[in-house]
Amino acid sequence: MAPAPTRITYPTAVVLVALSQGCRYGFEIMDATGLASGTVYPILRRLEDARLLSARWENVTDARDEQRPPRRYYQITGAGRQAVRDAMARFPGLAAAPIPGISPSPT
Amino acid sequence: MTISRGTRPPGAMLVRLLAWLVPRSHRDDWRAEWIAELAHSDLPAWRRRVRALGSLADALWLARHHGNRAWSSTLLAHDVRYAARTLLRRPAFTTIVVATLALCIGASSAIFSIVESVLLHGLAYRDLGELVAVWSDNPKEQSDHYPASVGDYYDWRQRSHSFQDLAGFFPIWNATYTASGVAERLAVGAVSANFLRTLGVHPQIGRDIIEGEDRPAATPVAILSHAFWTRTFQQDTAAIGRAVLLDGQPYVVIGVVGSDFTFPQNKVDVIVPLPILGGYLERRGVHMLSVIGRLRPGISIESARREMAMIAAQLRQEHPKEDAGLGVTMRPLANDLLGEVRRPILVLFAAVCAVLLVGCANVANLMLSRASGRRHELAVRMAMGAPPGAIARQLFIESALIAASAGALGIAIAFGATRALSSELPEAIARVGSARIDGRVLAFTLGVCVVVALLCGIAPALRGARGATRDVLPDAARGTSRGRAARRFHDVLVVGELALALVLAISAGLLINSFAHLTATDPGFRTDHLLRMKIALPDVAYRRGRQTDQFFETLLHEASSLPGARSAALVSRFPLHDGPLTSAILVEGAAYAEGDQLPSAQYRVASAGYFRTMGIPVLSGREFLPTDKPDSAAQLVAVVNRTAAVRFFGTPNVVGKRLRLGGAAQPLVTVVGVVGDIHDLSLREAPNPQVYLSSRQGLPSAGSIVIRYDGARASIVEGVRRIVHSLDKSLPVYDVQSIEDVMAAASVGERFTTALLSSFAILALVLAALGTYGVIAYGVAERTREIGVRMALGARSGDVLAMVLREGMRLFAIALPIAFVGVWWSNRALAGLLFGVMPSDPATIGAAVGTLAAATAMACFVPALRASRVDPTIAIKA
Repeated sequence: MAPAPTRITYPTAVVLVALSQGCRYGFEIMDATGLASGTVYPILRRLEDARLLSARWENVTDARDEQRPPRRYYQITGAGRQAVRDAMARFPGLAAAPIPGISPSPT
Repeated sequence: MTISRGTRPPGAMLVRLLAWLVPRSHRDDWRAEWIAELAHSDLPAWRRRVRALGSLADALWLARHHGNRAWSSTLLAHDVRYAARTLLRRPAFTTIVVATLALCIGASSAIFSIVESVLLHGLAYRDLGELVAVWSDNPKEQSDHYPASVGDYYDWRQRSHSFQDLAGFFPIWNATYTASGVAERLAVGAVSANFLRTLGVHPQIGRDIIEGEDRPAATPVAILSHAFWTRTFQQDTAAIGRAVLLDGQPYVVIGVVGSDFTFPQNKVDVIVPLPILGGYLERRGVHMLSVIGRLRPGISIESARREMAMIAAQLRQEHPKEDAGLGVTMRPLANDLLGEVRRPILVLFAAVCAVLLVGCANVANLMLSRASGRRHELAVRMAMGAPPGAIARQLFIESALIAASAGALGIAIAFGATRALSSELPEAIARVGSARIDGRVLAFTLGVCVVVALLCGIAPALRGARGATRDVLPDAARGTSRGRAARRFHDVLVVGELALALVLAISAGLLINSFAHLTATDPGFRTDHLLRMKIALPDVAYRRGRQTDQFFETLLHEASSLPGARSAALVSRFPLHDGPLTSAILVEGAAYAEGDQLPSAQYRVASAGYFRTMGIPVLSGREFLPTDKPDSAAQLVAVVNRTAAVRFFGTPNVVGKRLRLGGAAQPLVTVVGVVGDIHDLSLREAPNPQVYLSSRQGLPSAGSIVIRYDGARASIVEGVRRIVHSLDKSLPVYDVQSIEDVMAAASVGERFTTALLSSFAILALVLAALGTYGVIAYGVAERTREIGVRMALGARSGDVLAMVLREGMRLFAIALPIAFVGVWWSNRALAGLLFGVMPSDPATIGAAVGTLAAATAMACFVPALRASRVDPTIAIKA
């Protein structure tokens, strides 16, 4: 499927920034941003469809060692990094106020 | 991706259910991702469940964007189309089900509109929880909501520290408004300057009364009600700054309150500062003010109560005469203002919810029966590859479609019902709010529809999906009967319906009985061919004395000479209509200790011929005569009722005895007659001591003209208006009522509650009977073969008839004890509404049980008769 043009709304920008700052899965993004699950997941699906994110399943053996089911991890793609920069340009407040609980990581 | 099924984290069940919405290509991954997140999380279980709710939005997004076709066309259009076709194939079933639910949804929305506008949003004051009503506690009068005197109010306000503000008001003052030839009697609320501020209300336009404007010397100002502003000034903002004439005195209009503002206790046209009360302000013995306080943040009502108790103790010491025995009571303002209407409204709301439950149980039962009947169809669809989830979804969409249609029709019914209700609302309720459909009521209706869809749809959907999986085609084709569990579930629903219907029937029976007692109460005066209307004399124009005497004498004389009129009289307060006016009574020769609260009586001023006109019997002595001297130096005369005679003098023979009204400084009044007791304040309350003074010896400035007539009512009213107009063009005749209107108004609240609850009970009764019929009839249809075998083996028609009847009555017998638990609970709610009947009244309970038993028996009889006529040869071959 060809990447669909993506509207960068404020919640979308918040999710993108959270991912760029090291959040890897849905509940972690919710904890970091305070957004509701009904908001975060459709955004993740949309960003994945637009190929701004890629998703992979956690290694099964890692999960099995901790006796839990494997998680689905999300990662920003190359196109996604550009989108993060666009989002920060559009909502400058996001860059100035890093999301609580997340230490910025180089992207 | 698969996961182990060993653990089930909170919210996982919902995720599994919603997974059916997700396109198959994404479903497993989607489910695994959500369940992994829910299993990993350290959040408490409830928060994980809340997060799981978000999976609905996620699933719908995927369905919409990754479905084989667009989500709307696959899920909605296809399933809804199929569901609609299925429902339309059985028009009778669909009509019954939709009509039943629409009626229940419409009724509950209509009653909720009253709950919403009166109880939830009726009092548009800021931070209602901080507001308290402060009353005097008067043990002598057995009243803990006794008005405060103006002196007490100012002392409370000055000495207390618990309140941000303490406002005083008198809600039932009247004044005549005159403007360019129009004269209208207005309801006036007299208030302290901080009244609106205390309530947290700002005038919609203009300004509030400022401190000092409630002092007697200040320029009189007025704030208009929204209704009066609309009626008189057509919402012209230029009204601000203009003067309105009240009782001949100009009041400068300074503001208009919003349309949502409810004046406490009474509906008023104009709000003016306290000095309009005139001489009453200065007398500490006159208790007329209601007081509202706003507690300081952090101060509890208990600590405020303790402080006010100390202040009351100080005042008792400082004013041993006026404040003897007086304490202070306090309660939340919402309870104080809505207390009398809250109970009937909540009882009606509970009743309509019970009807809704009965309706849902009925429809669930019908749909279950229908789902059982469709097992063949469902089994075929399973065999063709439909997953159980799809079957469940299909059945659920049918319920949702029914609920949606019923909701749409229900809203139409609710619109009609609220229109009818709003004109019938008793004054006490209508003053605070109305019945009308707004966004909040529509949101409630929507919520009800969702609950209805769930209640009616879940059981058939689960049963249909599970049943279809288990069924083997050939068996299904033969139409074997339901399992024991399925039958028990139907029975449970019917038992629930019967129990709820019985609770409603008993409650309605008690209210009907109570209402009958109330309306059969003899008020002590004639209840036919009487007419009353009010007339007021502005104080400025008519000084008390000869001028007013002449006015009323001419008016009464001419009114009684009108064609069709038989007699006319004047009374200061009409019984069962005007509020109370109490006076202390001192019997001549009796010793009263210092500090004693004096006995008191309701008093009114009446003219000669009043008792004859009203039909109140004179038991001994005489009634007032035109010859009673108007000169105040002459002997003052009074008539007392029997209760007053016995209470004050210990004997009914009191003609010639003397008493004082008001205090030891007042003149002695000689009793010239004893009359029968009348119900004065309400039909519920026993007659209290009543004292009448002669209008020849002290006219009121306003009163009711009472006319006994045998002609046409309209011509009498017109005649009186003409006479008054000829005497003084500026005086309005208002508040015209026949005695039938007065009596109806005295029981209007009870009539409203009784009529509505009775309709709900009838609806519940009919629904429960239909539900019973449905279950028994369905049982008979299923057991046709069994009945055939029984008859082939020698059972007679009578045996089969009795067997089926027994089955129905067994359900009734099970419902009976459950209903009594409900009755015990509902009686606690009804207790305050009943009059002259005990909540455990055996006749009422017996009648309700008998009615429901008869309805159940009738509902069972038709299918029983059908069963008894089964032809064994045909039944066995079927």
